[in-house]
Amino acid sequence: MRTQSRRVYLFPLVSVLFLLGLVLQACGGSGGTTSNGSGPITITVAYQQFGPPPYFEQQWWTKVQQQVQSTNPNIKLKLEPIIADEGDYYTKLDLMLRSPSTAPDLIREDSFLIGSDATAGYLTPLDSYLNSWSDYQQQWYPSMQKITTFNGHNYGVMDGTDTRLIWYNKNIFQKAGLPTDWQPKTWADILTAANAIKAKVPGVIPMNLYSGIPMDEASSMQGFEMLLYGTKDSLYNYNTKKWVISSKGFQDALNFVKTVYNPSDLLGPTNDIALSTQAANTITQQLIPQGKLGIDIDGSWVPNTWASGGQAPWPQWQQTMGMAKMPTQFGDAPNYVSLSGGWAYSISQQSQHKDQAFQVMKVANSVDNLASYDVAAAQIAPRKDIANVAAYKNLPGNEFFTSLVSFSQFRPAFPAYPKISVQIDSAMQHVMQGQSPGDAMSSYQQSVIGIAGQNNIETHT
Amino acid sequence: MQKEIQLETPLETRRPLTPVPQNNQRRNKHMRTGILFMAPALLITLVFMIGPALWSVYISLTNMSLTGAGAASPQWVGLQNFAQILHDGEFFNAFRVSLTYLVFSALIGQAVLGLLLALLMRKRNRVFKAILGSIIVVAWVIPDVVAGFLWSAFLAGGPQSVLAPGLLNTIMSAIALPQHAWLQQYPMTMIIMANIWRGTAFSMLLYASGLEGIPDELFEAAAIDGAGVWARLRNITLPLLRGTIATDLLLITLSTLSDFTLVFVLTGGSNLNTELMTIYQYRQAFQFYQIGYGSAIALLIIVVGAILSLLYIRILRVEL
Repeated sequence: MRTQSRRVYLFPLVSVLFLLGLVLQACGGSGGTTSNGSGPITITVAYQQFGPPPYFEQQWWTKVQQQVQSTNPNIKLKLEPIIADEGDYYTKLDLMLRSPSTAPDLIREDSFLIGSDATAGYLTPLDSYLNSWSDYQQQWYPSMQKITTFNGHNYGVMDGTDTRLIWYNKNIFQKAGLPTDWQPKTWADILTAANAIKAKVPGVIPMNLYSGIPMDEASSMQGFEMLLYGTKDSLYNYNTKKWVISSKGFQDALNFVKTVYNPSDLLGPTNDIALSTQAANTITQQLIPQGKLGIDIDGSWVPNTWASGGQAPWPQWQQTMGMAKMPTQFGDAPNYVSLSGGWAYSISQQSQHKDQAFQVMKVANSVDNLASYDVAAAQIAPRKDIANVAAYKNLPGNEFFTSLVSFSQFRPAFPAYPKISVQIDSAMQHVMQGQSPGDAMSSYQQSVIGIAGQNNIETHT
Repeated sequence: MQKEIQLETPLETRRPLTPVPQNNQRRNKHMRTGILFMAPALLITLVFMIGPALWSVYISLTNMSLTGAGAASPQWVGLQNFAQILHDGEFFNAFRVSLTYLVFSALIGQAVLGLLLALLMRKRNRVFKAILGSIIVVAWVIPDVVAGFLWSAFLAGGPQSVLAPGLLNTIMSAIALPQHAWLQQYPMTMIIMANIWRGTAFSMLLYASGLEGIPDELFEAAAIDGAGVWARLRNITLPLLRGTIATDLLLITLSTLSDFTLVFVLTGGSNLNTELMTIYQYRQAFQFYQIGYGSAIALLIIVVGAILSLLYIRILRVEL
């Protein structure tokens, strides 16, 4: 009897111990990856990878990996692509940055998150490194250095940027009796052209302005801010450090949105296209190549879609598509508007080997390496000297896109921005669905007061 | 008598399986052995379920976030998150949306339609059962994401749209009715329909098994006494199915309250008219990176589910 019960005890005991072992092992995690002592140092670089190939970051870093490892036998470069869409990428990245055992050394993120992540203590200030790197001081455009600077410290190195402009279809313009070398001077010019297309070219959507909640940041940046920044008012007052929650410009911009999406005289795409998360794909991969869209206020990256190997190869785009600068509301100085974003590489605060990580960063951002990445990924180069690299200069459109950088502006990259951006989208959607711009702006006001706090807002009249 | 027939409630729990122990010593020994055998399962439950649950209660009392100030040094904020939620109009909007979705798609749609289908399938021939059953079950078997894309393809297009119309709009124009941008014009109705389509099979299967347990003699006797279809349903089927109904309502309520994927795929998760509590929670936690606030919302969702479950049990007076 006794032996039997002992046998009975033995099994659960062993399984409990086994499980405990498993749990403990899991808790230990992969803490042992950073090698100590004389072995080579592993530098990990994390970047987003999503959708079908080609993966430009992977091509770039594979090349850098070979260069670094052949010249520095002490450094091993490990690529860590994070396979996720943009929202999930940040979630994963931020989770990884919380713990020393998972934090990569080099991380790529959208420049507008640098403020939040610096506040969170995830990023290393790079000032001392960058001050001693003469290439950075001389070649990166001042605006490209400013965009990664938060509270007086520079946290990243831009690998490329983008600009925003007006695309228009010359064939459609011809049919509508509009000039094929078009450059609108005011918002009214854009609406006039759109109305002409609506009147003379049936079956074509006159214009697209991203709008509404489903398109998220594209609505606020390509859509709303391209308008607002062309008025006398702004989204954020850098002098008083307050969010501008109510202004004439804000209301006028909403009114423009309302005009484009007025259901009784629709200039924009129908709701099934505009209010879908797929709007950008539908527009750039289907409507534009099929000649069904006259005017599109969009980004400089759009031809990427039409390149051979892109999602919708369309070699004729160079003859068909015209490019124009986005005018200010009434054509006042500085006459034109563009917005820039772009991604930057930073060194994580948890990195054990910051010096080596910066060494790797320098190799990756050499003229040749960065130029071939910017060419492949259709990025506007943040380095001045890349503009002279033949492969870059000869790319169609690049000269025009790069010329926009001189007056291009940025989003207020503060931790509150992502939430306020959603409120902008919501105000846009409200006017699309019939609300008056004034009412939409007052609910925007209430929401932003809730997000930023009563002390961080101001109104302009 | 009624209790005996009610097969849904497990009878085993009331009738001890093992013979009553002769003395305390023996009982203790049994207990010790039992606990040891349960230990691995308990440990797993502890580490992977109760642990994270308690952790999320703790997080909900802090301002923890993935980026920004709350990431550097999460601070204890007490019940501030809950106070903030109760001042947030968006939460009440989400609450209203979730309840509407629950009442129309689950309680009215899935439960009633499921019962109706189960009744229709009773005593039909095998071929009929197999065909109808498999059609309904297919909707339940395919993954949420696929169901979402199926529905968005079905509802695609709209008036004046240059895109190819979906099946529904094709049918509408074929019978000379106006087309609509269904998902944009009637988002709530569409997600309710999609969820009814998707979830009815579950209720149907549950009711079908419940109906199996009702002896035919009762129906025959009632029929002889002159009871019509309605009287039989009201006086025999429904009372005897009470346990099954409670189980079904409980399960579909909990699964509908925690539904996320289908609606997220269909609407992009960003339309206030269709922002369920789960989507609101996801946006706060993973789009705005406020983990503490998001955890507090998650706890409130659980509270809502628990209250509704207790209500059902009370109203239907059943022991589960």
